[in-house]
Amino acid sequence: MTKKQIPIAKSAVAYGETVYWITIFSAIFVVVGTVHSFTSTSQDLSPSYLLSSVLDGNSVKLIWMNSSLQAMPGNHWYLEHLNSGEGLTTMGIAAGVFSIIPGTAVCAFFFWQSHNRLFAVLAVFACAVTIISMMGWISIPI
Amino acid sequence: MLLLKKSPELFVLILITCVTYTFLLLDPQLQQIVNTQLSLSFSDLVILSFVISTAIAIIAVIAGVGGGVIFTPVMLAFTSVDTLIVRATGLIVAMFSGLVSTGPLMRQGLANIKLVFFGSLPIIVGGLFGAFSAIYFARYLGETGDAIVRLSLGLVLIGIAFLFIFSGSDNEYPNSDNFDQLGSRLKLRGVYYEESLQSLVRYKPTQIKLGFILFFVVGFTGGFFGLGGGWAVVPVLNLIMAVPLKVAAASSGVLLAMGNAAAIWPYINAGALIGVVAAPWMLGQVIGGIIGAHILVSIKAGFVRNLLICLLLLTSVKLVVRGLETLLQIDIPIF
Repeated sequence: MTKKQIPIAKSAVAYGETVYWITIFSAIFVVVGTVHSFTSTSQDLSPSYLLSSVLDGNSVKLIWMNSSLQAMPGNHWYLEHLNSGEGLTTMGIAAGVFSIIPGTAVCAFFFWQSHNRLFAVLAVFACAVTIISMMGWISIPI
Repeated sequence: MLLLKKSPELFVLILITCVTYTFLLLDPQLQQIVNTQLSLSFSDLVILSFVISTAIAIIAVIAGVGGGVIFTPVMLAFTSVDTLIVRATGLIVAMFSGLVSTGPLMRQGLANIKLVFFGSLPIIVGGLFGAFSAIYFARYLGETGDAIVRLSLGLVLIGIAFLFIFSGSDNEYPNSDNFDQLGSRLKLRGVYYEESLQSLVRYKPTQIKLGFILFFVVGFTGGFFGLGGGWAVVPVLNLIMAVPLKVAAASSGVLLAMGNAAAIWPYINAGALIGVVAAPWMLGQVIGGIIGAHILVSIKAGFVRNLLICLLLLTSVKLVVRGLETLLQIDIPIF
């Protein structure tokens, strides 16, 4: 058996490629968001305010209450602020984190198809936990 | 150059990131000082974060540990940034190098997808139990209880590091002659091409039940301390389950990215992830993660072992120092 003949499971390749490419595109999104942050003249969620506040050691609550939002952000707040660089950048990062969900779903399909039922169930479990967390059903005290 | 030819997407990403950051450096409006202590401007901070993140990602992927193990203690020790923001950004640092290295490592057959999902269940469940236990533990035992567990964890890590040192190079390609019925039924065995040896390496993981329990313990302690599981997944896979060191490092990175994905959403939804702070760290992790994955394929396993020993000792010393400081109410000026 040579390097080229090593059997690599379809589930592995499908998971790897899905996660990889979504992460690459999310990184490009983050670069676009960064450019938008610096070039935009709008003061909505200004990057200099956010960075200064973070470096001053302000709490998450104080940072948001003193920002242009004047309130704590809700679940997936960035979707309502895609006109700001901060919203776009956070959206890009969130898209990268999201990559696990389609990745595990595609992987579960290929595991099931190759009669690896137990691993298909484990992949569905990982996918479900990530979805539950993304929906905001698991929260942390701020 | 060969790496850029192999991965044109890496070339595009590096190019647009460099153009963006060069623009940042040239824009006079962004030269205003935002950190008076270090006299750093806005653009200095962003570019410095990106460069450090890229270096952390390369080390993290090669050693199979999440970058959060390096990032979080340093940020908590040396800056006054809110702990929630540090933990949220730490999770980004911990997961994105793992996310992006998933593609190359799966393509090369270096990461074992079955081992990844086998470990995901106990690590995710253990992590959730650990996080909720931390809240109750803090209520009843306070800082003393936290210090005792931190100290014990540090001592365990020192023990693991010495186990790696004294077992020599035997654990780089562990001999897995022991038959494990569960491992055989789950078909966890694998094969990969070891470029540094120019030959194929076959492996059969053993002690599957013990590995499962230890993954739960790793998840629990990771969730309890907010450390992630990066410090112990490689030792469990390599020292207990007899998985070759490079496969253990590759699978660990992929597994950590999956586990951290569930952990980070509550921080994003709570607004603890500040995009302008996290962006350079995320970009550094993505670029460094791809570079690290390609290096891992071709380097010698011994290098991975030495790097892991250094990181284990570094993390354990930090844990022991913090545990002793809280227990004895003293200040140990190490780092």
